[in-house]
Amino acid sequence: MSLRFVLTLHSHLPWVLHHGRWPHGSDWICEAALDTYLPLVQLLETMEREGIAAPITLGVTPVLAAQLSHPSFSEELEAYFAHRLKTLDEAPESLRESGDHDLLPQVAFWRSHIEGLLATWRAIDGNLIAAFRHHAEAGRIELISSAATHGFLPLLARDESIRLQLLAGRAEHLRQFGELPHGCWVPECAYRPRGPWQPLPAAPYQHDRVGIEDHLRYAGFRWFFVDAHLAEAGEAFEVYEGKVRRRATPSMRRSPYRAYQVGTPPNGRPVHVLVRDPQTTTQVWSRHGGYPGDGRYLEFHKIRYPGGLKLWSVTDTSADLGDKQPYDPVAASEAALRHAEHFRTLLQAVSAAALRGDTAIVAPFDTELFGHWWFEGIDFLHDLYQEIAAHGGVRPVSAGRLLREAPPTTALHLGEGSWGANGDFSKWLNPETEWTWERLWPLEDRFWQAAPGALARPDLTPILEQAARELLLLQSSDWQFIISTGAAGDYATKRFVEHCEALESLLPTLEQLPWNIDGALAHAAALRRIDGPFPELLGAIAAASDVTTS
Amino acid sequence: MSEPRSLALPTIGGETPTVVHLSAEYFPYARTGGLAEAAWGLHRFQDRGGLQTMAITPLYRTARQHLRHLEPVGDPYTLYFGDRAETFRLMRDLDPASETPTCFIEHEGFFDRAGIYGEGGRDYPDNHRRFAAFAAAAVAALPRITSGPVLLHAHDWHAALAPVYLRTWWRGDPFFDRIPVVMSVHNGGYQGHFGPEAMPELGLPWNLYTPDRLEWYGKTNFLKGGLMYTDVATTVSPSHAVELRTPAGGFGLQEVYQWMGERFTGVLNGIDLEVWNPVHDRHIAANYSRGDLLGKAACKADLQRRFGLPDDANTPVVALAGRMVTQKGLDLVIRNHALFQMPAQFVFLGSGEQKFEDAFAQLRAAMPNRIATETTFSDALEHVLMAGADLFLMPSQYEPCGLTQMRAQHYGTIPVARRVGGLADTIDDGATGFLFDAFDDRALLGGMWRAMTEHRSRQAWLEMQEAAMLRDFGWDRVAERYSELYTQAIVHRAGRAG
Repeated sequence: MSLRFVLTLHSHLPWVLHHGRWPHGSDWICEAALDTYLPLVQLLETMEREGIAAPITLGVTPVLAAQLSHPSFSEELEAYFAHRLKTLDEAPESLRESGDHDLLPQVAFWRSHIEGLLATWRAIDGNLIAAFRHHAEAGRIELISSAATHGFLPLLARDESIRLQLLAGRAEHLRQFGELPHGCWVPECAYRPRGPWQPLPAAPYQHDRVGIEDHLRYAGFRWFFVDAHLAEAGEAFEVYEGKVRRRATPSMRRSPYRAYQVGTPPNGRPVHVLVRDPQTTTQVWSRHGGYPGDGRYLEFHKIRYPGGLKLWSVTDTSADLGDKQPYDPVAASEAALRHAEHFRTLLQAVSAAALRGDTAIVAPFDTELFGHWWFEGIDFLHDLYQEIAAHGGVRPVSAGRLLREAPPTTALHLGEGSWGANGDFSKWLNPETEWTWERLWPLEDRFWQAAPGALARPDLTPILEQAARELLLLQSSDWQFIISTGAAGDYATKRFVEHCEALESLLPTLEQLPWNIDGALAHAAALRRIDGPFPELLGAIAAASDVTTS
Repeated sequence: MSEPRSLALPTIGGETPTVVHLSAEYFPYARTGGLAEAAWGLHRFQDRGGLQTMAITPLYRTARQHLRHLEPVGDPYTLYFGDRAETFRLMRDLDPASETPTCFIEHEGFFDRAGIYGEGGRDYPDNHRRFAAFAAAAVAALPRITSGPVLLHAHDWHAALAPVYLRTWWRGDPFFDRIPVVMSVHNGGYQGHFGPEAMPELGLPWNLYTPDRLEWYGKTNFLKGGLMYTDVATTVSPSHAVELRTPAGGFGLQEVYQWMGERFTGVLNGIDLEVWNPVHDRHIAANYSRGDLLGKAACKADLQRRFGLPDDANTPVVALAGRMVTQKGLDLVIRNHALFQMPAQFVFLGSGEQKFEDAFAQLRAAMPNRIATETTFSDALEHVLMAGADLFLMPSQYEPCGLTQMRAQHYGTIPVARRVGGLADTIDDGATGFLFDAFDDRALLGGMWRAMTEHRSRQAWLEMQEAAMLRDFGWDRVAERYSELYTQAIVHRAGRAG
């Protein structure tokens, strides 16, 4: 019997609305919309027409959903479309002037492509959320959520912060998509089991913090994803009807091709984990060893100015930008088809080699890999599902369906780690980013110490909620990630500091509980016009603050 | 009703023991709280499970109203409490309609009164003598019930002197020496403590007035005495057993519970699934089941109509019912402005402390379209509430067991409760209800917010209702667990006697 195939796409961008446009700011989300989100909608529509059952597990982080439904995003994207079309209008003359006649066909390709996307944007009334919701209701995708702003949960100092991220995230998903999600994309697949906590000497030592799964359970999530090495690290136990019976036999241990129950809770609904398959996922995401490095695909890094058009192919990953050859969409399309065939055979091979008890190949990726980083990635997905429909080998299902069809029979104690470089937390906690944590942790303390008093004062609610927004926004894992990669470090630093300062400006009112708060209310309202996701946070703050300290 | 599970006990001296319950309250003869139903419910299912059983309870004036076929068992008998002689009769109920074999201790002076524990809001001043007499008379009556071995199950402080008398007055008598005793603490806050001068009136020697027997902070403590002499003790939930071992939750007896070690444990009470069952409940507008919840919508509409609330299927109805007293955590409700900002309707049923009745009346006056109150509690109305509400609120300070949350889950009504005692043990947080930890307004608000969030998703709510209705809160499970504890008591007694 063939294994199931769970393709999971995790879509995320930090809050960039009202915080600049180019080179860093709202252009990020516009690029992602044109490169990935709208093509993904087109893919779903195509598969709907073709009658291909291709369930995709689609994660949309709450902060991304909040932006996609924000009026500012529609305005920005309309302007972005207009700019791209104007660029395309001007490109032929510009290319002729520079003597690049051989690139003129690529301009025509881009015009057709952008006009197609614009037609899709119009057809869905500029509402990506509604489009995804439509496909979810039709069963083509299963929507999952995440922490509200993609906070790096294991490094947050207060359990209340972790809970707020998850509670606010799940509630925002409900507000946007009309249904509660069962699955959670734990940001960066970053997990920490129960135990002592002090990631840096400056961190407040805590001798026993509960594991991330307990917070997920509290927030109502039922399952999440981890990288394979986290599953490898822990001890396994056999589960029967939700109860742990005994230690697992060696053959039942830690295959990445099955889901597990996380830990052994004495009561409460167990939380399950799906394990990322290292073999198949590397084949896709690696630019050097994987498909996207094929010479026929569109080169991401070489951009023509003025206009910002990408007109060249990868040619050779080691080639200088000057040696890149003109892009050939037909050849690239052919490459995507061949890679889809190859990937299908790879899945088939993994399935054929499955052990007794294995149930699924779980392949999670950043959604933006497809279309944005790997331009032909969406075509690849289409070709892949056609291949599977034609030849079988694996059975595509959503993650939730997998867990309903094949409930885990083994419990695992997971190790600590993430899906980032080195498999640990170092991409987010390193000498370049230590200062961010050292600034965040005391702010967490101040907020949660002030919250109970502020919750008892209904007149302070707008200030408390805005402080919570700033706390959430400054917790986005993106800031540390960007600082570490160095690509837009100044922007990330600026954003992190701005949210810290905004929170710091609100905290004194919450801490001192003065009766005259008119000025603070006006200040909070002004901040909210800029940093305004998650309209109602009071209940989530109350629920997050109910943490047992024992 | 499903076939009862068969129960078995080890033999004592080659014979199967008769289980004898001693309880000051017993349904339907005398009932002020949960004790009467708990003792009756357990007994009934033990009887159905094939055990030889008997209940002994005082013959109160209220009990006589229910009894038409009483017959004396043997002649009157006299016991001496110090220099006072008290004469009793053991009476047996022979009504074929009675579900459980029951005997009564007749003593007109002590029990033929208007109240059970007191009148006019005051306890009877001779309660120590009344319940000491009940306990001693019941032990003395055991040979009249059976010539074979007995296992004694004493409930709460009123019966707690039974093991004391058993191990002192009747010590050395082979019939009594081999009797194992199980004590159940239904509410550890009620212990029956009296002045030291009570000791001679109880007929107990002063050498029992010591910290390792009945003395407790300068008083005579019935419950402590019973725990010191029993073989095994239980309370009404595993979490409450943990709480009773702590200074914060032990009501001053935590060291006794700690000392008992594994001989003290928690066992949840059950609910009567014949009475509390939406499938055939006659008090509700429409019957329904886990597989077909359509009738629950009709029950909700009926509830809204009865309580004068707008008929609105989408707005969740939050119910709170029972005694309106501080222990139930109502302070967290009446002052919780944010709670009443939530898009919900609230129904409060019951009476109690005046400040709560007044507060609910004020809330109703301020928000008549969203808040309804009824101070006249009735079983029928509780059924209506249980079936029609979406959520049941239980923010208790402490709750040894609690039955409301079990009934609510059986009716697909999701409890929002504080994580204490039996609430913690019977509500699966996030799966069949919602629990909050801190005893404060914000924690209650947080729990309610989680519930309201879930309610907004039709599918998630349905799954939660079905999971709640699937929970097994019947007495079968409880009776099986008690059989295990009886076995433990029998083994413990055999070891002591040997």
